[in-house]
Amino acid sequence: MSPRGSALAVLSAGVVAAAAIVAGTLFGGALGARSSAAEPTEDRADSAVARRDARKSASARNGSALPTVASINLCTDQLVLHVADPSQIVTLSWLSADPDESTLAEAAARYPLNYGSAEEILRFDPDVVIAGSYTNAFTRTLLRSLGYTIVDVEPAHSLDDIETHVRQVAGAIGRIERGEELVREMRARIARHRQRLDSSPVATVVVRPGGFTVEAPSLGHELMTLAGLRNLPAERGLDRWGSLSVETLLHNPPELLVFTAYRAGDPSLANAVLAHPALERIAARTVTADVPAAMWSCGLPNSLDAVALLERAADRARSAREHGSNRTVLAESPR
Amino acid sequence: MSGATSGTASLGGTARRLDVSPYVLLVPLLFAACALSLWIGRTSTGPMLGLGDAAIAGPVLLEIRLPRTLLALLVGGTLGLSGAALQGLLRNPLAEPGLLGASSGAALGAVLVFYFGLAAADSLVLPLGGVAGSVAALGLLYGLAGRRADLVTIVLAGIAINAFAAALTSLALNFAPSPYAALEILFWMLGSLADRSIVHVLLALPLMLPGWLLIGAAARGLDALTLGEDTAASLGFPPARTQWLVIGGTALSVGAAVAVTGVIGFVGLVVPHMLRPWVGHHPRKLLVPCFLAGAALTLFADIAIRVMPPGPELKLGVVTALIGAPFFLQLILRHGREGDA
Amino acid sequence: MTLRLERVAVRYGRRIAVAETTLELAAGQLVGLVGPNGAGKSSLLKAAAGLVPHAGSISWRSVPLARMGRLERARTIAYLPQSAGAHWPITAAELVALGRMPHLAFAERPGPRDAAAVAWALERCAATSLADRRVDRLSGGERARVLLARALAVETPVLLVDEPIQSLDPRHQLNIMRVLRDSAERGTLVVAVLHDVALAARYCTRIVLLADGRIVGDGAPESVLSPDALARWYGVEPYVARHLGEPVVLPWRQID
Repeated sequence: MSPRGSALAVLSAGVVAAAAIVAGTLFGGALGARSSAAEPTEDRADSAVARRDARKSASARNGSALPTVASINLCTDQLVLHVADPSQIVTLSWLSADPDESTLAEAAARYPLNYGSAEEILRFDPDVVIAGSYTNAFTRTLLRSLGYTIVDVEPAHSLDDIETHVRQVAGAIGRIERGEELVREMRARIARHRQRLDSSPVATVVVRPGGFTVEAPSLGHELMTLAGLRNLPAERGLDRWGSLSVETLLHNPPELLVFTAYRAGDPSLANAVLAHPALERIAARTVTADVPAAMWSCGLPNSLDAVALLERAADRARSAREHGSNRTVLAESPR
Repeated sequence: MSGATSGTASLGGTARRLDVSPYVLLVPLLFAACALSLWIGRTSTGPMLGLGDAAIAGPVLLEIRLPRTLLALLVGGTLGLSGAALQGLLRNPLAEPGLLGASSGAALGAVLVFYFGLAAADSLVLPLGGVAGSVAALGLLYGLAGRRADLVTIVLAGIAINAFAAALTSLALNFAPSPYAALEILFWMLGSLADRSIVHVLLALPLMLPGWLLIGAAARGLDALTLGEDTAASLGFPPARTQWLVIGGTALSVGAAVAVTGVIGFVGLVVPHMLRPWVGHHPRKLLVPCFLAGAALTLFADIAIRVMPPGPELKLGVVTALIGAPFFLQLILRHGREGDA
Repeated sequence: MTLRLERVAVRYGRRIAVAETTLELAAGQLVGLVGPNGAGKSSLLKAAAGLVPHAGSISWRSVPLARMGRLERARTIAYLPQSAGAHWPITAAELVALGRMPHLAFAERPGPRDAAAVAWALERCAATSLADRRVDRLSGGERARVLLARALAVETPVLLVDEPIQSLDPRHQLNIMRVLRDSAERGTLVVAVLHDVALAARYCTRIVLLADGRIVGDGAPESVLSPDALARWYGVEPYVARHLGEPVVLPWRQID
């Protein structure tokens, strides 16, 4: 084959591969959405219409009704699921039904899913739209200009933020009491965790895909502190804009190594860092724990579940410390 | 003496395979594309034909589909026009609007707006940042190359600007305030028309229009350049004048386009090649047909996105690349075969 | 009707290509601009064509070229560069038609006058049969004729050509020189930079000999291209004769 011919063959193969990847992602995504749904998509849209009509006629009868809610952001989806009455929810974004992304995937899958475009939301016709402050700015602006009320929720950086956001969403959708109830529950849980704190917090490093760690201040940092862990990189200023090199880790061995795997089954360069041989050697002689990314990527009331996980890991690390060695006890995984 | 008579007829340039004006096909095609674009929408369950529920038909048409259609038309037309102009100017079939740094400058301007957190508040700020970036790139080009620069210097300066803008964009991405911001930037750069409003049309148009006019003013000069720079100058069309008209027009119009939609590639590269077998090689004759064809191509690509199975929307830049690359391949194949013959 | 170059000098940076030159060229002449390599012939021609910046002034019929609009100037002086070519695969007729551009306004379409000019130019250069052929598929000689036709199509009173017969075979060389001479006889001022001393001597009505940027000879061919001049400026010894009433000047031997 001539050089030109082989170059063309390689190029065509590349184009075909690219097209295959795109097609595969699309169809795989569609299949995934279908499999995680309880009913086929057409029925969900129809039932949304039916619910809307039912609600409108109900409000006509009662004279009072809760506003309908659409959410177009993964974190706000879950907030809404916590706060709203099921009859209020008109649509949630497709990510919330993905168990890799969302802690409430099963609950979310019962609702019609949207892909975040203005025309979709227009058809769902909600009273209130909840979005993240980084959700596509074009979509949010367009929806505003169409007359929709949009509530922008910032990413949560602390436990206080979670409370604020819960109240923010609750206020926007007429569920203030439910919001206060959630805040009370959260505070009670936090108080319980605080009581358990002893004077010897465990030196911990969290390793995330791509070599990132937990910065301070951040929500992750507060969760760690609440679980009785010392965030070693933050303490010693070891991280560079949130990332921690494996070598730094070697020089600063922690008592507890927490892995946050995200889509661990999918190959990715970010996940490859988690499999770094030096890291594996460290892990072999340290107490380790796994916390799924979905558990603490959003600031939610159930982010405190991560604290429970971390507490148990801290206990194991402390007993390893007492026994004078820091060898792996069975790494606990929540799944 | 048949040569004499056909010489007379061919004064304006002979048609090639079809003895018919390109507008006969392009104008109806463009109308059809616009009509389809207004008629086809996208919902959570996949493509939708028509406007749906009468209560919301008005907003759907006027505030969602119409701006999107208009923008596809304007941006696609701009890309086709400037692609034809640049290929005529550089006498190189590989030239395309991104060559001079207008696209990467606009992309950098928009990215910086993201980076400093200005875009989250109001999406109008984003396109303004893009326009500022492309104007800055042009200023830098002028500063690097100088008024009397020859074509090689200008192309090299454009390459330098592209490299610099890309490096700064990577730097900004590296230090993005959050992973969400980084993702937004990346997706924006892939090029999209989704959820743009009439505001964006009104923002881009005042810059595109003068850009088109500048390119139009260079039309005859582009024809004159067919014979080389010295002959063009002797025919009364100094190459420097043609050069800066095309560059200025491209920077304005393409900068405005990229600022609003992100980087959409391949349209400017491919459309002139599609039309040359039909319209001929005179750059001036290609300008308006390439505008129309670029608009039609972009519209059809955008329609293709909307008829995909349900899921998050594909980015427009991806689709135009998928269309453009194979077309380019077959162009190479055909050219190679002709050369060997 | 004269083209007057007054104290024209051309510099490229520090290098002086053409020293201050004053020249008056009358219409109806075929003026050969000759001289050894690097003498400044092309630079002088380009200055006259307005392609390079120069000191001094150039005027046609007492109107300075600098004061003319660019299209008016284009209608006054046509220029055929040395290595001319077309970048796009257009037909010969389309290429020649480009020569009519200085006569057309912005959106004006070519009219019968322009068509006639193109046809005439093609005929002058014996290229009518090439009209519908693609320029990139023509042979060197054919392309040279078409390019010259383009220059003629502008119908200017002044025609400047830079080495029009380079790399052409003898038949086409004679052909082109014949066309240039005919144009001169019809009233055009034709100034041609030529390397070929023999052809210059035979066809030109006036020779301007340049060396090191200065005019060192100006007048009838036989007197300017004398054996002394050729020995001094070219370093060659010629064979001089007359054949069928026309001068024969053939560089014959190198002089050490």
